[in-house]
Amino acid sequence: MIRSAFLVAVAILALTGCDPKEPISSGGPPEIRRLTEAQYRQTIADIFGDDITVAGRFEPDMRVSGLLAVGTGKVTVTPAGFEQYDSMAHGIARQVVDEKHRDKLVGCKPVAPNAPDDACATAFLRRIGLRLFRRPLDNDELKGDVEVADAAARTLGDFYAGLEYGLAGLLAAPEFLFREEQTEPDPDHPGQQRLTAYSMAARISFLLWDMSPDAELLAAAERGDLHNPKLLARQVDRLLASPRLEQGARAFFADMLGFDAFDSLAKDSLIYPKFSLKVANDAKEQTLRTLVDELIVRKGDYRDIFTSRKTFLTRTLGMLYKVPVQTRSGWEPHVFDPGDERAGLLSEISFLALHSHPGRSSATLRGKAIRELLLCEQVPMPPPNVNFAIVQDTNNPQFKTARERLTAHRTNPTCAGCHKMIDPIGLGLENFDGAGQYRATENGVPIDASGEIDGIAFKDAAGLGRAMHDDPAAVACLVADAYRYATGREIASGEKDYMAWLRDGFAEDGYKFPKLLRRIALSQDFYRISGPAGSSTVREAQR
Amino acid sequence: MTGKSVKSALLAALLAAGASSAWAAESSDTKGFVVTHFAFASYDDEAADCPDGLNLSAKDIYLQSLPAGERDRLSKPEAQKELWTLLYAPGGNLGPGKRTHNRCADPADFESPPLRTVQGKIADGMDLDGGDPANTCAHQKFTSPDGKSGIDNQLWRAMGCIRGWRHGADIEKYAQDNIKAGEYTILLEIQGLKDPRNDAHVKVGIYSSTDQASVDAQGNVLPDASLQVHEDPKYRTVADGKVVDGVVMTKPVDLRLKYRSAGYVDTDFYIRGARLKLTLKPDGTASGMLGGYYDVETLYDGFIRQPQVVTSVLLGYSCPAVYAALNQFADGYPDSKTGKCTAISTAFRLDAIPAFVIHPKDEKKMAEAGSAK
Repeated sequence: MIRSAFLVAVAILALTGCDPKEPISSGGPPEIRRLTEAQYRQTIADIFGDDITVAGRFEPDMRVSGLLAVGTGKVTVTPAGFEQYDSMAHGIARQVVDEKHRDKLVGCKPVAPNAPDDACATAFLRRIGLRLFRRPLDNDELKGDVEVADAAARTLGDFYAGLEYGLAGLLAAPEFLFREEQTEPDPDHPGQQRLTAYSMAARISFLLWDMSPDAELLAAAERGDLHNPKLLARQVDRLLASPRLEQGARAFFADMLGFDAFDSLAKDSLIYPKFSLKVANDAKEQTLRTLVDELIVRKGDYRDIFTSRKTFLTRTLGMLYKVPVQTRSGWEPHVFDPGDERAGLLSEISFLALHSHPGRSSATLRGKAIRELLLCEQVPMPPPNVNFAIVQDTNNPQFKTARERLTAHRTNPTCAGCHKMIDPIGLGLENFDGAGQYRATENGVPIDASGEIDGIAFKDAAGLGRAMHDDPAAVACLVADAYRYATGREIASGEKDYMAWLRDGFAEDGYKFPKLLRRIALSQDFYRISGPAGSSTVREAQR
Repeated sequence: MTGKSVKSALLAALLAAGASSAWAAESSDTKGFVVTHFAFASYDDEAADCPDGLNLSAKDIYLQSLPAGERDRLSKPEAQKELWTLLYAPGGNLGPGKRTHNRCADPADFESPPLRTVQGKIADGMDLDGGDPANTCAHQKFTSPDGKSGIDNQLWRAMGCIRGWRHGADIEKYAQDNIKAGEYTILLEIQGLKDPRNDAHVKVGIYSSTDQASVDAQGNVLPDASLQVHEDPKYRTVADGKVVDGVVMTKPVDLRLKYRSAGYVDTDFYIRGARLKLTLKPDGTASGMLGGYYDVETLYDGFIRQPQVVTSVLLGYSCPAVYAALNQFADGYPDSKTGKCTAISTAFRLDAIPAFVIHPKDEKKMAEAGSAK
């Protein structure tokens, strides 16, 4: 009896993705999130094609609670930023209606090329408006936009020039630039709100593909499929099976690992002559490639990212890793030997170089990064007026290794508390210098890379990787980050049980990352709206 | 390269392309290097070498041949264009690759005062013939700076009193700069090295590469780069060798290495009977000497004919005089019919740093490549 009930539950989960064990939770508020540069570019490419150039400068993103994704709900557009968006909108629209693209992209021909054509303009703007706004334009929006196109066509004596203005209006609209989540009364739970099907589609698509929903997903939303668990699962599985899932996974991990910091990463070229902008770019790509391969292509166990010796290298990186790379230009797979010092994410140059100083390694920065990025813990800022002289002087004959310098630094009781929490972790990576290159000694003294993390002792970087692999906090951090990334907000107090359910499910699924994404995308909490009934729109919020 | 990274490389290759196309990786008994410094062996004692002074350039020789009034007129800045035209004549102005009759392109057709050659007794180099007169032409020997007698370096004897060929001068700088600029790359590979101090038998690969050496922001060649051997087997040579007290020594072998300079020289170091003497240093780098007999026609074409008249002026020599001296001092590989030597003894000083020598997937075994020449 119990067995059959279990089998029924499993069957329901497999077919519909709806887990009857999902606890009732609070959900959260609808969010209004600005598109990231990548999302903007990927959406334009998807709708109009790769050959449409997007030229302009994007407003900087803001990292909130460790994620840019959360920050997208906290940022606005400055007047200067809006000018950029407007300029990009016209640049894109001009290309879409030019002679090279118009036949393919506009989809209809005007009766006369030198005069307005309501029917053609309406058909085009309705179709593209759906893709850009991620929902159908309402009558007023469509009418207003067609009027703009018509008026411009009359003035300029050119239908396509008019259409450019109409399209640019959509591209510069806040409804495109911001992911505006709309709600509606939940018929299954009177008095409560739920996301509209179109807003559900956007959440799914941005989570899995890091771009606006495609036409098929929007069509499913229009049909109401997304409120049907079985049909929702069909769409989610379609997106999960697409090669675009890699794009979504890259966006998530680049955010989680703080890879935007690569934009300002610099090393002292006299100390690290091999380190260059190319190395930095390749190091970032190496890690993303490795993660995608491990988690998406091979559908591996997330915990293995801390221990796996499989990666990808270019010749540029091969110089720093000191391994041969056969491929003259481009990437090739590489497997570090079981006895090699390199194992897992923490021993990749991206992590090691990003969390170091320009001219020296930093056990403190690395330990802090592990605590914050990979274990989701908050490390306090150092108190003001701290004397870093001992730590910074790598040539002090009295303190030849980082361990000796940090030990001396920790004699200051103000600093000791935090350093005790982070240094023993970071010291495990001291066999790698500030550029991520292996070294056995520092200033002629053999490096002791032993340490401990939350009571688990290790001898070296590989040992630290194994400790991270086995640390439940690392798994919990990924689950929390994935959910916060998906919703663009902090986890609500009413979602504690839900998060525990996600974590348990992740373990049951063998820590497979795509299954975690599927579980989130099919869960009811993901679409549940907390707070009083009512809807808000970008325009309302702006008022 | 460690044994473990070899396994990794092989695993990676298998992962990448399947077992059928697994590529040859360096093994634990292989050491690879990229050459960072490669220059004709020279010696720095101008007073002893050139008691009559350095050679005059083609321009100086021409001006000296003129009456005083004409010489003064052509020496003025506003007459330089006319002077250069005269220097190039007959044949007019020449660009790279053009082959027009002139004193550098066709040195045997022009007369010139003889080259001032090295008179000193000391020079860097190797004893190539071991004092055996067979297969050589009569020549004088040098003593090395550290006192070894029997040094064969007739190229130095011929060219050592040319300003641009002196120790540390233009020719040496060009060779150095051209490595950094990626104009040419030389790789060394020691295979079968069981003991880096003493090993009775090793194979030594001496290759050109079409890959540019990686350099840092200061222009220094970086270690640990993956660099592929030249696709043309002509530029891949393998010699038998041994290691004695940390010094690799090879048996003589004919070799070609590609040399290019700033777009106007594209030639080969074509060294016959080449032998390498390379000291393996504890820090992983290596330095030593490559000696042998440089084919005279190849040498003249690459270092004198292709650089044209302008270089003879800049570096300070007369092409016909150089051509005559090279043939006069040639001391190796006598022509079977005429008995005239066709190659001239020389040596190169070289420094090298660790690199990964990459062999293309379709490369035949190194031994076959070596014998293909």
